[in-house]
Amino acid sequence: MSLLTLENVTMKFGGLTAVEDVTLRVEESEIFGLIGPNGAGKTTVFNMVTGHYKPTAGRILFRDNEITALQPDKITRTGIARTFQNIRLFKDLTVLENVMVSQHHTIASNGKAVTWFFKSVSRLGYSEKEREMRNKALELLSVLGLEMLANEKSSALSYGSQRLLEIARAMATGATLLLLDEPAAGMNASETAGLVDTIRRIRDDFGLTVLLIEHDMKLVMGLCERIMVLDHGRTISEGVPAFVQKDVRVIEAYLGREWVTVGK
Amino acid sequence: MKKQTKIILTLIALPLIALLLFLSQELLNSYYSRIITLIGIYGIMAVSLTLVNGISGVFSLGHAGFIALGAYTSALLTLSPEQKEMTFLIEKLVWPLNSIQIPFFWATIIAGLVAAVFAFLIGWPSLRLTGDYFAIATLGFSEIIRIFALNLNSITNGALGLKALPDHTNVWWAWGWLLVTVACVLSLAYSSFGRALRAIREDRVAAQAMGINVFKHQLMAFVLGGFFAGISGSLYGHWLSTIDPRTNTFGILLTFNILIMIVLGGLGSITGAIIGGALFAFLSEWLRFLEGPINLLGFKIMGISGMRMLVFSGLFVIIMIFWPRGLMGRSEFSWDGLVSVFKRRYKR
Ligand SMILES: Nc1ncnc2c1ncn2[C@@H]1O[C@H](COP(=O)(O)OP(=O)(O)O)[C@@H](O)[C@H]1O
Ligand SMILES: [Mg+2]
Repeated sequence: MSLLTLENVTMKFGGLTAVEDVTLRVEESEIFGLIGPNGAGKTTVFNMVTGHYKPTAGRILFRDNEITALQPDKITRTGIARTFQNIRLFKDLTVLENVMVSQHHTIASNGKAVTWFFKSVSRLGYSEKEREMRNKALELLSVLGLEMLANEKSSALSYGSQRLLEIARAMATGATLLLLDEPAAGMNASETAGLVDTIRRIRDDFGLTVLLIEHDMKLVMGLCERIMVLDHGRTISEGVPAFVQKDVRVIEAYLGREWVTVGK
Repeated sequence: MKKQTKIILTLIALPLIALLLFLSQELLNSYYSRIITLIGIYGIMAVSLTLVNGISGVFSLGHAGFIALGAYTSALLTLSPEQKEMTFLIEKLVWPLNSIQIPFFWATIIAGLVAAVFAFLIGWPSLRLTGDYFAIATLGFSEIIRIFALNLNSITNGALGLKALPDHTNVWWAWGWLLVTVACVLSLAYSSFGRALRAIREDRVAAQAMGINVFKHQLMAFVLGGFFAGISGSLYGHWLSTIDPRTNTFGILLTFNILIMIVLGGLGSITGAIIGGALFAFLSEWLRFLEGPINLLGFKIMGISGMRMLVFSGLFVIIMIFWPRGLMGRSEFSWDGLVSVFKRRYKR
């Protein structure tokens, strides 16, 4: 049983086919890379998995349960959380609050929302849970090296720290599968190196599975155990980094057909 | 500052405010004490709207509708059967409303509940719409309420409105309910629930991606906002002592006035909402002199009606230029903040 399965998934926007007949399996506790040129449809794949888009065709399964086109919040509660390519933090909230927000669903789902609404208004039996959430958030922040910034507004953070905070926030949902959309974008070389370690470490320490989109080839080849390459919405190659790296179709997609023929 | 110190300071401050209110009753004439009551009422309206528009990130233009619902509901419950018999000239008031009379407190609670039920019924379908569409839907709702009020003769007395409401609303009711409203909204806003609401306000897509059921949360905030709007409506009706659906007292103008209060004070700040409400009540009364005849350097100027709102708008624009995020921004009053303000003064 794969952790995440996409079966012949297609996404059309009017006349434009962003993702076409993609099949993908991500196994438990692997780090899987999704790469491809700009506009290949990678983010669209994420958006379908997290329920932001409803696929035009195909099925998506998580631990063998179909999650195709469920509401995004429901999908998150089943154990999939994501980061965004164009950072979407809660700007006016503090770093700590950003992470605590992700734990809110643990107290407010399954029809408990109304109970908790009254508990929050009346403050009955509330502070203990609040403390628990705060401690867990602080722990996650220290895993990502952000604990010193806990009380800053999230918009005051550097670009690199904001990307890390997005990861902390996604982890705080309690998800077992993390979808990271270009986590290294805008980071400098040393930050990127740190990120590689961090992703490995959270995978090992928290028993997570990671599906990531990335443009930095060095990062992808060094970090991912398996890779799938998309081009114009179609899968053009899939396998271990060493295989994908040498695949003629991949080189073609990235560098253009001419380069390949001349290169030979 | 220690948490204990803050609690003690708050416990001292509350009776102090009560004492000031008491003194204002004893020492000021009834005109001013009516304004102080109005500040309490505006405060409730503003705090309940800032919960919806400032904290939960939905943009409602229907607040006046809930206030009107509250006003009618409680008025129909506090007027005596004889009074109703005399007032309802076009058509008789329907049973059982024509034969009941209950205490003001319970009438106010029921007013809040009725408004909350309507908030639920409006919010359920229209909170699925986003942004501008929701604003338009709620605007439409408040106009519909007014039109029903004008035409449902056997319940609202139509265009004649309700008159000679008992003058139950005094400083104590208004400020007591303000305290309840602030306590509820504050503890909600600074709980996990409020954090989720603020997250939705900042970025609803991301909030949903973090497992939050956006619709449910916004609906609950909208219903609570509606509840307190209904409460304020009951108080406002019994403060005015007349409910006239032909004027704009309970119409869209009221919604805009409350919007001005919360934007003035700082959208999303509960403290700001109260300050905005107080400023609005005070200024709109004080500027009344503009509409009477004025003697300016020997020139007699006749009062121009509407002048007050013109000057008020001018003031509003000036405040928005110097404090673009309102007087309080999104921050709240805190003892620490107060201390640091004094420290800064002292250092200079
Ligand atoms: N909501 C949308 N509406 C229309 N077209 C979209 C939408 N989202 C993505 N697309 C299109 O789908 C294609 C793939 O986009 P995307 O998945 O963002 O690519 P990338 O691989 O760079 O992440 C692009 O051509 C993009 O313009
Ligand atoms: Mg992308």
